Amino acid sequence: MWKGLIYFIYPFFCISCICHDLTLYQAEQAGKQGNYQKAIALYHSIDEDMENPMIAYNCAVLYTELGEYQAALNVYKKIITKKNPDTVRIASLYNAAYILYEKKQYSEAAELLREALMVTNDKDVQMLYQCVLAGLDPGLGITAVTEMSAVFGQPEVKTDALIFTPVPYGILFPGTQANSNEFLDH
Amino acid sequence: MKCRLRYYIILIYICIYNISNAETVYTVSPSKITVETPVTITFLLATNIKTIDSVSFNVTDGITISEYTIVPQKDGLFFTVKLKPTQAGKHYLKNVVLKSGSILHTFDIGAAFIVEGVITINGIWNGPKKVYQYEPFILELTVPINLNENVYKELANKINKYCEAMYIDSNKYLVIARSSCMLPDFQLKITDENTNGAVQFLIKTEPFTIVTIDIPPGTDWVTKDNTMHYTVHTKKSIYSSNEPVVFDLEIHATGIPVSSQTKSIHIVGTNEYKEHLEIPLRTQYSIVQNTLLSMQEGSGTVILTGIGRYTIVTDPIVVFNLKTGKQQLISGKEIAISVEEDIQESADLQNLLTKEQRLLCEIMNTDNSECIKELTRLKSEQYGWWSRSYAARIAFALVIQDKAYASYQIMEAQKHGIPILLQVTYPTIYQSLFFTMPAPQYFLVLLCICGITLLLVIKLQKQRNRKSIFFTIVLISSISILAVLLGLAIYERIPHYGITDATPVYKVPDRTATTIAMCSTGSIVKILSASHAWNYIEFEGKQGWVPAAALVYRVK
Repeated sequence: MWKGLIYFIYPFFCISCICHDLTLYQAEQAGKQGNYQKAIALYHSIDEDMENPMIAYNCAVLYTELGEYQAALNVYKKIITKKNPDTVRIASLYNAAYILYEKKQYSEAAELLREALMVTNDKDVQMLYQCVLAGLDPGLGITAVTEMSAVFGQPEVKTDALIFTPVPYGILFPGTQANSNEFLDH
Repeated sequence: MKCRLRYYIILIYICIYNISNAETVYTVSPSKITVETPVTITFLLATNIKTIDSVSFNVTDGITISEYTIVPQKDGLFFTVKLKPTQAGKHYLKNVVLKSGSILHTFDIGAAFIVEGVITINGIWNGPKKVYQYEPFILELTVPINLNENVYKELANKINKYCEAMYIDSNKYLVIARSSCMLPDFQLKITDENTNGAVQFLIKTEPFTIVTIDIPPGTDWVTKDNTMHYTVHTKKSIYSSNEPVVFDLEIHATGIPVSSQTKSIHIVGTNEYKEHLEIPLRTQYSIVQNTLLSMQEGSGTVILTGIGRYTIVTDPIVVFNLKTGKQQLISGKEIAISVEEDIQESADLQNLLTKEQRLLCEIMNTDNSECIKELTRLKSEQYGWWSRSYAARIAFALVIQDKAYASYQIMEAQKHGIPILLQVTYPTIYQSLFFTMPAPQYFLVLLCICGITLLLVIKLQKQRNRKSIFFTIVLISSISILAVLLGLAIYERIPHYGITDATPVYKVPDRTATTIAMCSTGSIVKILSASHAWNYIEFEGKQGWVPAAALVYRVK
């Protein structure tokens, strides 16, 4: 009888898995094609509570692409506070720190980056950490210009701090390896 | 013979190599040189000059020759030159000129050495001594050497403590002083990267006094000329009632805003409506050709419910013109908008409101034959396919002023109240809202497969053996699966609708996200994707997210 029940349930289980993977694939494709809203909707349909770190991270990246930095930050913080794989944690810490850095919230950014540097020695993370430290303790040169921009608005000439791309780690799709260098759109 | 030829070739090669690479080897001592430390340079000049009438050395500034000795050698003349550096920096003994008779022989030496120490460089400020308060002016720093951009930026940082300054380019700063101030003598030490930090430059600037002339009190802007642009505008001139009216305010001029961070807008309607809005302004600055351009922008929203004509007036700006030295009043352009009746309400709900009383009569007096007659007449005129119960529910919703429930009942009535015969009779109304058929190709393919399968079934039925029965079952199952697929395809294409409460539409599913639209109570939205907490919707052609709790009714 149990065998019969298993035979009965098994096809439904397979169909459910296929549907799940198909939706993930669709979301991934939508994200790559620049249809961010659709990608977010698809990710939400799979995991609304953002329990899956990959989906949560991808959603946060898509929020950033749409210019919703605070929303992205909320998701990154959710990923960071939970026990997640190092790759996702580092990427989330970096991206969250980057957003905070852009918002000139240097001390919070430094805190996140210090946490990231405990598990990685990635050059991008180190570089951002240096920039954040420079922001915390303004010294010579470029930092002075950034300070002035607060009085005069954005300067015409881009400062070095703006060279970084907004989302350095890009979209992390399921199936990528544990090494952070192997992120697809790094 | 061959061996000798090779020997000659090698000999010629060595000679050419030596001639082409002839170098003057020199020594400099000591290795660490500071100012006033005697320096000795020795070198051998490969020359066969026998008599020398005079010797002169070409050295860089800040070096004096204290003594020199020449010792004739077999290969030429051996020089020992003693120098005394008086200034830090990188110095050279460029060449030696020997005069023998009337002929001058010049020998390039190129002996280089670094004298460690600090070089003091004085900088002079050039700028107007007297300016108006908030008048942007150019302050120029003159220094005898080329300085790195970072040094200028560092100086700008120092000036910023006394007045507002921004480094523009080369040696210029754009300065704005709020009051009279004095820039003290700044000292800045920088290391020379060419000497690996052995030499340092001390940049000393003179003190500079900026005297400001007070501008008249109450000034909002200080401008350089009359080219001020001050407007308030709306996207359109005619709005429907309950539609948000967005005002955009824009001020830009060559100069700087002094005080106002908000601007007042007065809305006066022909229906005695009066409103006063304070619009917060964002200020942006840009520098074009050494001139400061400032721009203030702001926007405000107001919902004008009353039908009528409205005039929007902005508060004037008090501008102080630096060119004329006088204060003047600049008013923004007055604009007018008119608010008309809500189309949605007038088309659907308003019509229902007129019928509402009759429908209520029907609810209360079911036996009233006149009322039923009237209702029948109304139904035959406009809403022929609506069932009486739906009409009554809509009327009830309108009486209790629950717009959301009314919209929901209208949609439900449009969907369920239409009999199949009428759905076929009025396909445009029904299909556009609730039903979208899959592409015709889809049907064609399915029909072909079904046709072929049926033919096979009929053929197999004639054989009547065990194998044919099995195949018949398989084929019938296939047709069933195809039918299910067709049903699913149609089901998937049926749009979902939701009726919202008053809620903002967010760009992403997060309450901190940007609001892209505002749904009022009873707004009908198309649900693109639904989940427990958030719904991805389409409203007024915009796609966004609303909390699931904000959707009070759902229709599929």
